[in-house]
Amino acid sequence: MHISEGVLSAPVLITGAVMTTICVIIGLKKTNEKSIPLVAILSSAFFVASLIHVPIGPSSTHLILNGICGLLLGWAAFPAILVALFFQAIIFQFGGLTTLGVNTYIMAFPSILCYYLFIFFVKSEKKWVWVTAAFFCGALSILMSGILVALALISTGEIFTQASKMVIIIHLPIMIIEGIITGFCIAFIKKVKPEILEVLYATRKDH
Amino acid sequence: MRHEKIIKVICLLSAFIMVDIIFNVSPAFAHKVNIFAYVEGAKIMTESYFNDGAPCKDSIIQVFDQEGKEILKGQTDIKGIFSFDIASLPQKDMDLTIVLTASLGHKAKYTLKATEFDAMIPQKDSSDYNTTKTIDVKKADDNIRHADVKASTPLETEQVQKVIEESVENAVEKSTKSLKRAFVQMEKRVRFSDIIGGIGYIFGIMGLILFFKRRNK
Repeated sequence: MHISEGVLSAPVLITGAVMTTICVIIGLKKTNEKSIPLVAILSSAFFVASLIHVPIGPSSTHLILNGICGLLLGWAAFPAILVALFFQAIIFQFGGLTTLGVNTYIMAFPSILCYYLFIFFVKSEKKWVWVTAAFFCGALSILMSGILVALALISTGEIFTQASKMVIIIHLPIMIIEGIITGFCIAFIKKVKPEILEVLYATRKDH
Repeated sequence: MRHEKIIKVICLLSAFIMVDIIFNVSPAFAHKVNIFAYVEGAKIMTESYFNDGAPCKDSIIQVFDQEGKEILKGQTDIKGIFSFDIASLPQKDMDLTIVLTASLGHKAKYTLKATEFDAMIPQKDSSDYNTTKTIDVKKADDNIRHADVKASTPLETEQVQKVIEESVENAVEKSTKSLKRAFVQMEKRVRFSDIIGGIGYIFGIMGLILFFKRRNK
């Protein structure tokens, strides 16, 4: 879902860059030192996830992992995803450098939004509550990313109603896969270190 | 005790990354489109495909000249192929930039050098040869027979040479087509070393940030 260079118009690119800059600064301020290794690991996971390919019908897409990034990092998901996308652009030529702002916003904004939507339920003790919450967090993040891609393309001026429908349909399988992955990750974290979810680990001030 | 748990979480996530990598050691294709073009006979063929080999159907192809002006526009068929005649180009001695625009904002570019399709122009010249040959043979009719043979032989050999050259060009073009495609695919492949490099950079940045934060304390 990385948008390539030369597809979007300048206003869309600038908007994306500005919004991403604001959110990355917020993310950097809120991250505390001890959680930086966790941010780096999730950034690497995000970096590699795009290489896991899922061919669907006429098009093909890849894993994104922005659901789990949001749950574990909160606002720190913005710098994490920005760094990962930057290296993907440089090393693999996925997406582009001018589109870095827009692509980061597309992937990271759903992370923080789903964090706020689902973290309360994910913290719950009851198994079925947090399993469902984790699943929907993963799935909804992908859906919202897809919607943002469609919005970016439509704002550029292309008649993309057909593609918007396609975006959602193409990403349905990924939504399910990501939901399951998020579920498993949360399950493991609950067993090993549930404190990460209690108060957002990445932004705790007291360590 | 807290540190043990942190290490466990980090190990899980690292294991996840490793599993990703293991599954992707062989040509790890992912999220890009590719296009490449070659000459076949009197046409230029373009092939568009996703990195995993699936063809790019119904995608827009634009052909630009050296100054960036659009010369041609078309759509790929169900196999991802779009072709156009060399004769439909306004000029034959320039580099072409062929751009593919696929769905969901994917774009790819391929530059076809003028030298690659210059070789196909002689087809026009060989028909010129035919007319001059008949005129010369008619003139030779007036002379002695063996002189006829001598007069027409150099022309015939040259014609035969031209035909041989063209056949060889065609044969070479055909056999290098699959080589070119494989080469382009290999060039754009995602390599394992690239993945490790990228992850290394991420951890490098992490280290730098931590270093500077420590210093400021």
